[in-house]
Formats: sequence, structure tokens, C-alpha cells
Amino acid sequence: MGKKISTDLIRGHTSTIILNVLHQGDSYGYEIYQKIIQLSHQQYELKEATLYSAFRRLEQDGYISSYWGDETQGGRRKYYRITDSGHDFYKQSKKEWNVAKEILNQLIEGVIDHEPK
Amino acid sequence: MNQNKTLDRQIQIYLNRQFEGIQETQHLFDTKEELFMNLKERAMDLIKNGKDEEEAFRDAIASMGNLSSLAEELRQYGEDPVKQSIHSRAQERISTMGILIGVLLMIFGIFNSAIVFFMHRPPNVVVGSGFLFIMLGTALITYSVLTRETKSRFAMHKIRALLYTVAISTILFGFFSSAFSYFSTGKVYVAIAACMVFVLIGLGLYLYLMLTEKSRLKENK
Repeated sequence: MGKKISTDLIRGHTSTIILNVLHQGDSYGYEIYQKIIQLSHQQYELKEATLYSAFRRLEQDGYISSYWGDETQGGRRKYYRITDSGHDFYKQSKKEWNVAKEILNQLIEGVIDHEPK
Repeated sequence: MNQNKTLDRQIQIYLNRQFEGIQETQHLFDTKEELFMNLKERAMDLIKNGKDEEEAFRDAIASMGNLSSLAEELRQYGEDPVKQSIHSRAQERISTMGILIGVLLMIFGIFNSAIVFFMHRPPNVVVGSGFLFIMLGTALITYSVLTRETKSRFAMHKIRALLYTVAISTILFGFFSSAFSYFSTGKVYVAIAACMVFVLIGLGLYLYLMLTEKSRLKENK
């Protein structure tokens, strides 16, 4: 599975992507990584190391919280859940993305008006 | 399984190297555990799909990506005493409350028994009136102490601490019920029988936990 899109395009949106995954259900690192691959229909792989840095930031900002699960295979899994303020932040980020999407579309595909003034 | 042990060790060595020279905090400890589980699961999946252990390990690490920025964040956290104290103070307060309430419960139980004793009630009632509180108190103290982070060791997993608490409470319950049944029936063999069941269960659980204990000691660098 190769990277079909540039990392730069995704980088600023890692938090929103994680919040999208978590708002559809609590999950842990490895599973979140797999769900993101699934969401992108195998077109994108977000490295787990990036994910873990993002988890820390999101938790510090209070958008997600963590809890330990049961012991399996000789260790515990750390689960993450989205908080209420995380929900709000996600909704807001989604709105901002939709606006940005529109603007980017116009900037990249738009035709310049050559109307005489 | 031998295969699992070497895989575990390889992952552990890799993680220790990635996070070398960083001040040991509960946070670092937890992060390493989280990453360990992640790498382990991924490697196991690859092995299940036919890869051999070496390859699975290398692929797992490659897919994890570059841990150096995460290591840097943890290094800075380790050198920031303010952030750390905010983090651990809440946990510590809960554990302190637990110990306090536990001690009070135990003392209450002892007082209760003493009052009943000096009311010249039969000895089984003396035992009965105190034992619930003493047991609850001991359980609370055990759990609070085990999940407390001290200068020399990290906090224990909550579920594990709970199992230890159950083990010790069961053994204690064994002693109490044997005393109770001895004073109720006057027969020693009844007391032994009552004691035996619970002590065996409790001791069994306790031994299992001791044998599967992982070191939580802090390495003072």
C-alpha cells in the first residue's frame, strides 16, 4: 500500500481524523491505526508514531481521555474516548474543513474572471 | 511459548533504546507499555499471516514510524517537574483518601468489637460485629497502597491491584469465618474447615499474582 497523497496534505488534520474515529466508538492505538487505513480505503497510512504524539496533544487539550483495558497477551491496552469538548471541537473542525474545501476548490480549479472593468 | 518470549524481549529492547536517557516517569512507563502492546499485536498479526518472527518484528517497527519526536516530547516532560506534579497529585490524593478511610474503617471495626465485648455478648457476636469493617478497611488500604506511586516504584495496574485486594480479603475472611464458626459451634474442626476453603482460594490467587509479578521498580539514574 503506497502513499497516494502527500503527507503534508494530511498533517494538519491528524487531530480531526482521530476525533472522527473516536466519535464512532472508543478505541486503542493499533485499532485506530487500522480504522484510518480502512477509512481511506487503503489509500492512506498514518504512521502510528504520529498517532501517539497526536493522542498526547489531544489528551492535554482535553478533547480525548484515556483508560486502561483488560490484560491481554501480557499487557494492557490503553483505550481512548472522545470527550464532550472533543465532540464540539470535532464539529467545529468539520465545519472549518468544509469551508476550506470549498475555497481550495475554487483556488485550484476556479476560472479567473476576465471581465473588463 | 518460547517464540513469544524472544519477541517480547526484542520489542522491549527496541523501546528501551528509543527512549534511552529519559527521566523515568509514570508517563514514560505507561507510554512504553502502550507502544509495547501495539508492536506486539501488529507483529502477532503478521506472524499469523505467515511471516516469520524476525520479519514480523522488523515490519512492525517500520510501520510504527519514527518515534524520536515522541521521545523528545517525553524527554521534555521528564524534565518538567511542574507538569509532572499536576499529573500525579490528583492520583496521589485519591490514594491517600483511600488509605485514610481504610484506617478509619479498621479502627471503627475494632472499637465496635470492643464495645460488644465489654457488653459481655458471646464471642462470635464480638467477631461478627467487627469483621466487616476490618475487612473493608484492609481491602481499601491494600488497594490504595498498591496503586500509589512512590519514590522507588510505579503504581500497579488497577485490575491487578484489585486482584491482590480480593486475595488478601479472602484470606482475612477465612480467618474471621473460622473464628466465628469456632465460637458459634465450639468445634475446632468446623473452624478449620471454614478457614480452609477461603484461605486456599485466597492464597492460590495471591501466589499466582506473586509468580506473575513484573518489576515496577524505578531505576534511579
